[in-house]
Amino acid sequence: MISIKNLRAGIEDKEILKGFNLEVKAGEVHAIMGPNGSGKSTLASVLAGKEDYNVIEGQLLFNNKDLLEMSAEDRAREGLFLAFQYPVEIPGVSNINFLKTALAEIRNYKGLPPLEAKDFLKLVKEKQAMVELQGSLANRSVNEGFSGGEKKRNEIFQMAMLEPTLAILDETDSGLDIDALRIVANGVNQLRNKERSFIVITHYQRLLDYIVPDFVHVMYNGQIVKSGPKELALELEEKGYDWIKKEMEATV
Amino acid sequence: MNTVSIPNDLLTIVDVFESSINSLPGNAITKNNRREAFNKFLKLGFPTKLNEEYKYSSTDKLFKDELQWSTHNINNHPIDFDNYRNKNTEANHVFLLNGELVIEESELNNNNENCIVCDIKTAALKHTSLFEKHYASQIVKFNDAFAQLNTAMAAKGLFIYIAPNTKIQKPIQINNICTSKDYQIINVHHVIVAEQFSNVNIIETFYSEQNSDHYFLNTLSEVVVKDNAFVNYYKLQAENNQAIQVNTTQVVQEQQSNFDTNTVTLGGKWLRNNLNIVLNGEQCTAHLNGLQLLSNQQHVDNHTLVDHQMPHCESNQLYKGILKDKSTGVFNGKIFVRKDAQKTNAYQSSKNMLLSDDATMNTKPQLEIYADDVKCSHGSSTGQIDENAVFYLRARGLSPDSAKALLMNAFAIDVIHTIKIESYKNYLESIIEKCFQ
Repeated sequence: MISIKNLRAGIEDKEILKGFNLEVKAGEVHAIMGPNGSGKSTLASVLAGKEDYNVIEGQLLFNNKDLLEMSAEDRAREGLFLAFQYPVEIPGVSNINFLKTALAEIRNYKGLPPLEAKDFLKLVKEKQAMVELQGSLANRSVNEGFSGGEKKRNEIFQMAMLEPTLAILDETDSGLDIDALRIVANGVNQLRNKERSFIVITHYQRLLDYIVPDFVHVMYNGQIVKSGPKELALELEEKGYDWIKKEMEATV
Repeated sequence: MNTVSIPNDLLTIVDVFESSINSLPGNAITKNNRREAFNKFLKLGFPTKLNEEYKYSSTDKLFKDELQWSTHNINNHPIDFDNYRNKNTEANHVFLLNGELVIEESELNNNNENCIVCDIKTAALKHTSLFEKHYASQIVKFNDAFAQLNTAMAAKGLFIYIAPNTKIQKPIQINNICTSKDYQIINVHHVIVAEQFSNVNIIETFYSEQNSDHYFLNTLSEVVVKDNAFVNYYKLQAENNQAIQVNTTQVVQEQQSNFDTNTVTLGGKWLRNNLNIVLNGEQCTAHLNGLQLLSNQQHVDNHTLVDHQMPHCESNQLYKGILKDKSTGVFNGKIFVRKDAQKTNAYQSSKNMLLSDDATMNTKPQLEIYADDVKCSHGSSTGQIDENAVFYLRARGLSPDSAKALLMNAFAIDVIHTIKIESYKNYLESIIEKCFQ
């Protein structure tokens, strides 16, 4: 699905990702955990194609295509989805209108005609139910005046609509109460299947109680420093990140 | 006349005025007003940069050659009036060709005998007392050379009169179509009177026919909104890219009246819109909205003045602009709150988006408040397109162009949503969306 090799990237002159490696196969869920400032969100932005970040070195292959050669929109059209940590409020653009345009452009890229209006609306209804998003929210301006939880649910709703093959969830759990967390996780779980992969970036273990990962990686100082099964998350929760930091410093 | 020293460049205008004054519409009172306006014009002269009100819209270099006062040389190819009608089918259309009413193409009776729509020549003859009462009744006080020149010289324009307690069901749509070139000046002067408890929707559009070129349309509307009347007056400026236009709207509102206006500017080379509203009675409401989508070297200057003279009135202004290329825009919004105008609510907002480094926007709010129990606010912002929003949309598969189109449309469209005529609003929505594609 995606293969990241020796990725070095940063913003302006600051190198943040310092030789990052990750291999995700179809249908797998990988959790990336780590303390603040370890480079988790930079990774998400670089994968999504944000131009503010410079890639210094490394290889990014997505379904054997070179992601680094692709614009942000082409990455999305190829099936990569980023659920933003801070979804942008866009006054005046209705959620539905936006999704209709997005879906039409993705389908056009694949050589498909736009969905018929009634099929589109059917899809909207079905996916809305999946994330328990009220109809009125779907008709409102994108994220405008949404609560934190509503914004995150809207991200998952968009993901459900666009049906990506790889979804990157960037701290989707931040700012969510336990009910919203359950709803968001439930939406993600319904989208899990043999073909679709997830990279779940989180600071806390609690999201992983609901979205159970196949692998857990610990990120520190722009690299993965430890990988393991889902139980690793529990260990981190118990011991905190200082344990990793100490271990790292000891090896240096 | 010999007391005023007349600059050389205005001498031709003096000749034109003196030779035409006797044939211009109106009787003794109107002729007097015309002469007064003309003298005022001579004193003011065409505004230069030194004139504070025209600081950003100097007319020094506007008329490269002399203005042409004759209307010969007008291009006479047939005009497809249906083409204009079809843009908004739910209106009674009135056509002004270079300012001249085209009677055979216009629907003038509005199915209502309590409504008069005719040209000012006819009004001066058939509705003499009404016409004399209102023509130039307000404009003489306004220190603007173009308004005075217009008032002095205008032979064309419409007289619209709505009798008391009359509701005009279909909007009256005035379509100004110009075929001129060679810096011909066209003075058009409308007089619109909405009597007590009347209700009318007026749309005014400005188009140029193909092959038209530089011309100068100097248009002015005097609007009287009597007690409890409702007037919605919407304008669409979509002329060719050489056209020059000064568009003055002078409104007086009596108590509990409502006036709504919206000016959408898409075309033209150099435009100045003067919108002056006097709230001359208690509990009046005035809404002033405007949208400019500018490109190339277009220049559009919106000057508004809301004069709160009486208590318990409300005025609300929203002006937005999207400027591309080397276009320039001006918004100057003046609000007066007179000593007696307690409990005034006056709001003003100007928001602009610049799409190029070479585009310029000048905004200047001016509030002068002499009453002590009022709510007034103004805000102005000029910025670029939100790159975070563009990225968010691109991350969902939208191309940069369609992401920007969606954002610009969203920015612009709330000005259009204030329009209360559904069919016209829908028409504008569709053409504005196309502007961004």
